[in-house]
Amino acid sequence: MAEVKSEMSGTVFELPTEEGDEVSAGDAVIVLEAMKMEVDVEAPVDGTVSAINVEKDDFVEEEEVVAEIDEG
Amino acid sequence: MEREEELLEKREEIKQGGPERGHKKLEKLNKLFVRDRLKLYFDDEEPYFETGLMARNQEEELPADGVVTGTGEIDGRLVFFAANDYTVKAGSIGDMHGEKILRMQERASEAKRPLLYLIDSSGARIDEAAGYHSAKGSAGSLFYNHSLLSGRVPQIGVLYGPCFAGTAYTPVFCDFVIMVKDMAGMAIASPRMVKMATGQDISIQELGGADMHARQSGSIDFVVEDEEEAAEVGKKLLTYLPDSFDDPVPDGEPKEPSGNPGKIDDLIPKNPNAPYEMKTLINSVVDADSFFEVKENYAKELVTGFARLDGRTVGVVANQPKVKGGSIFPESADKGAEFVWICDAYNIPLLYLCDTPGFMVGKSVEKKGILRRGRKFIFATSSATVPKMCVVVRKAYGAGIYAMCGPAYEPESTLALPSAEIAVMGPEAAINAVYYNKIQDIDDPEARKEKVKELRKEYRDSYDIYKLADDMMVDDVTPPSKLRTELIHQYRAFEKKDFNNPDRKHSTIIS
Repeated sequence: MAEVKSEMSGTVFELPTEEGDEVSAGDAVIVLEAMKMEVDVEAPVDGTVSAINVEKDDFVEEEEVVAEIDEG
Repeated sequence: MEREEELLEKREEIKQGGPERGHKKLEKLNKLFVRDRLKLYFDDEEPYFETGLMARNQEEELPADGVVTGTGEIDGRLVFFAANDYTVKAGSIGDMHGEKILRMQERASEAKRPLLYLIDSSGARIDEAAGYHSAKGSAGSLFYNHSLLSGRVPQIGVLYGPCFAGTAYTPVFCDFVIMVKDMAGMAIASPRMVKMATGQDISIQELGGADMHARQSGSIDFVVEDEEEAAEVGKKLLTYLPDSFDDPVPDGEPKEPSGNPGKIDDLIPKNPNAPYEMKTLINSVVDADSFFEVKENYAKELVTGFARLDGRTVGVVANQPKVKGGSIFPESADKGAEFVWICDAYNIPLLYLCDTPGFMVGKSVEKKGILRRGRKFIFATSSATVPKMCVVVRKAYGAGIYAMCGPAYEPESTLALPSAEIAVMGPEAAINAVYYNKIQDIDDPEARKEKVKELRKEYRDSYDIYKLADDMMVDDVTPPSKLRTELIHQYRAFEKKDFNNPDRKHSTIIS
């Protein structure tokens, strides 16, 4: 299980994936709005999204685990 | 001839390095013998001349006291070097070993030529160093010399093994550090020492491996896979650096860019909040294969590196909208400040490509000293006297444009692309700040929304790039496809730039 961590604080702008989706490393799992910019929170590994811990408009801290990916 | 033969035989023997067990250890670690390592660097595979070969020739098992020093020719240029020999007491710094490196530093300074350190040393040779490490002229002077050489001649450090304490300072005093992955390590104390001091259990790689330093501490500039690549990167780096602060910056062979300058306008999204890859723009402006990124894996929201424009070497500082929106963080402020400062020290002109929503805000960055560290970036840009060009690619919000050498920071020219937006802040934040009460007073939600929309449009119109150009806030609005040509012409025009900052002893801000 790999953690998807936000690199900066911001507000959840878009949820391009949902639980059960297959993703590749580098894909945007969550899109934040921070500093009025759209900032992708990327999958660190290939796998299946096993949990999404945030909802649209949630405030996210730097280093917060916003999603989880099952590498199996 | 008898005496000469005897001497030659002795010299050859010394060149074999340490005892067999030392060589066996190297083999086990999959490392090259220092003299084979040096072959990867030098044009004729051999040093141009060597100094201190006879150091400690009267003692068993201390050939050259474990360090090879001298000069070598790299692409026809002479470079001074000091390379530890791991086969001799694990490259530890004995009395003459330290003396040899100190002499190289002094000679490189006098000769005004770059100094290359190939570091593979276990640190001070404890049985020789008791109390001596702090004496004047002892190995303790290494960092004094490093400091005085800084900015006088380029110093490049290449790490081939675990280096702790004293030996870990040598690389960080260099202008650039290259680390061989999995082989090298760098930390203020070894895992064993850390365990003793604090009880923490940690591996060398976790404590001070190449990946950690490249991504997290930002203490190194390049990670390489093996010794061959280390030499390639070291040699390539030298092609962008002069022999000293007082010598011309080497040029390269002019080449057309690998990217298409005609596609720059399409690359920049119409939505000002959408990300894109800044490196594509860089490669559409600079000579093909010339962009050589420095600290590629650290604070990626700011891209720094060398490049060439029609053969002329420049230092590129560019915001990366693809990472953290291109906001400037404390780490990227340090990265920018240090890169600008190195370029200015060696007279390398600067190219700023600005697309930043500004310095990052919030609790986390305040704790890390965003103001204090941000000022270093602004300070370095202000103080740099080399030709500076500012290109406003898209966003130039807040103090971001100060660090990125906007009009107030004395660039030779500020060129805006038609996508440029120069403002104190974005329209959403600005309207909220200025008209908050007025907006809140409107009861009808629809009417409130309309008002906000109208105010934002008004605000947006106020920083329309054509309006700013009308006020000569920027020197020109440049067609994106012509940006490369414009920059080439501008740098040529300013190649004899003659400008000095007002007199003082030195600033109180350290970059």
